[in-house]
Amino acid sequence: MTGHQKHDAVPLLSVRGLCVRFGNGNEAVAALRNLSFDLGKEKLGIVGESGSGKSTLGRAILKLLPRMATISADRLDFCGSDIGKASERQMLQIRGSQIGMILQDPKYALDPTMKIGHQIGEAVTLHLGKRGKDKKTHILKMLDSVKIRDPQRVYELYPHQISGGMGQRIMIAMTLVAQPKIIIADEPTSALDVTVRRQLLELLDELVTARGIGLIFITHDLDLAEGFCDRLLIMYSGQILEELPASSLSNAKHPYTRGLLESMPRLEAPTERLPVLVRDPAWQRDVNGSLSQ
Amino acid sequence: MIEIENISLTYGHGKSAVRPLNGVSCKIEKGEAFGIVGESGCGKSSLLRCIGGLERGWEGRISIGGSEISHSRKAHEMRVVQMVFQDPYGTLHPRHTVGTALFEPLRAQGMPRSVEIVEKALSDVGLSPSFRTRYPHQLSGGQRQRVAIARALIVGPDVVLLDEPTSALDVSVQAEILNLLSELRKLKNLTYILVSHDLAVTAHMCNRLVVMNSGKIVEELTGNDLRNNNNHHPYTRELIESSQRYKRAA
Repeated sequence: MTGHQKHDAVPLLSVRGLCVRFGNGNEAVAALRNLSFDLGKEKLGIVGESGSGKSTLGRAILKLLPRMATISADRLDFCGSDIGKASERQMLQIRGSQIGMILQDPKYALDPTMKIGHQIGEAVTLHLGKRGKDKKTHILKMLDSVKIRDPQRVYELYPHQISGGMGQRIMIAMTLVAQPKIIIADEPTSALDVTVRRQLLELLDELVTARGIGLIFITHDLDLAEGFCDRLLIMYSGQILEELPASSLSNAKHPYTRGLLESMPRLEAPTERLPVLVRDPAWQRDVNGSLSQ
Repeated sequence: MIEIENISLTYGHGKSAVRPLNGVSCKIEKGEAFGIVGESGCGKSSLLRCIGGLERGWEGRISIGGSEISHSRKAHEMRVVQMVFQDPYGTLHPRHTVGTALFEPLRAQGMPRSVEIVEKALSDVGLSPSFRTRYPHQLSGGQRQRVAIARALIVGPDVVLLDEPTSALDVSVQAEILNLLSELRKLKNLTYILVSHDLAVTAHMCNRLVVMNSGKIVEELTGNDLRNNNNHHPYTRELIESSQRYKRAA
């Protein structure tokens, strides 16, 4: 399933045969089945509906799944080292500092009892070891880099005093402190208004491109992924059904991708009735042919 | 069907007062699907809540079906206007079966209750009668939204207020629910007021829509105006622009 697109010599992340199961024995549910893909310095969109396994994929890479989950993979290489075999202690060195994560809703991801400046400060101390005046200067610099107009004022604010869009900028600032090589963004703009969404995407695009970060952009929004990402993986029931360059989404071949595209109302093409997606049980089969459990 | 004249809504007093609605007027014809679009905080849901009787502190005039509505409504006035909310999981009682949930509006209205009525309401929204004994957590998001629609329609309203009815759903399920809503409107000659941040969904469902910003209606458009970019207010333009596909900075 891996495409042979032009990547950098060594991909940032190389995944082969990734499987995640929840539970044991007969009752186990396969959440991810035999996923393989590479990530270079690009914006890779993981697109799927709820329950397709897209968020599980993001968490599996960071090994942030609950204990009932079993992760197995033929290969889970991050910059040449196998994180599939990494211990929890080694993962602590990787999470945040090498692979960062941005979550959907800053309202829940930020600590409501801590000032914005102090929250970013935690990351600055942890990853850069900066303290005192040095630390504060760095925090203000980070706030400025995510285009917060008045960093001094925002430094002193609590999360409930800022808007959703600003909260998400702060999440990005925190993630960027450690200068990670990969950022996993799980529906980063779904909680935001359309007008704010655009500004945030522009910012994310600019920062990721300028720093050469590999971005895994998890979303349910096909339109958004098409415009924002370079390459897309379409997921359905724990598998990658289709991989394609974002620019050719409208020429997608798989009936599932086509069905999703057609079921969206379009401003430019009004219809009386929207075509409804008819799910083919064959999509549930393992991509290599055999029927799953 | 609905006439709204100069509606204002204020929360709080003095300096800290906020006005989610600031002099809104519009007219909605019988059988029409009327859309309200705008970003969060523009007052679109507040307006819907005033029409639905969930807000009491409004000033101005609302008349529904020719009769003026006062701040506290009688049961028969409530029956005429029903509401479907964004998150069906939040509006269904987790420990009530679907059948119990559908009995509740009938009980509140003092209408006859029977299993047949509930099963008819379920089949109207494309669910089999067996759903009567299920609990909300046993349903998918789309099925839950169907139950919420059945619950709104079971008392036979003339007006249905739809507050972001599909924004919590996947696009494939959204298509099913939008089709269902369109069919029901024709079948039962309902009047819809749809609040949404999604312009494409609104244009698909509604013949006429208004754009709201900071508690005011800035512009009224038809679906075709929206499609053909026939708009005049800068805010409308901004809204349309930002909901078009994100294009990489050139």
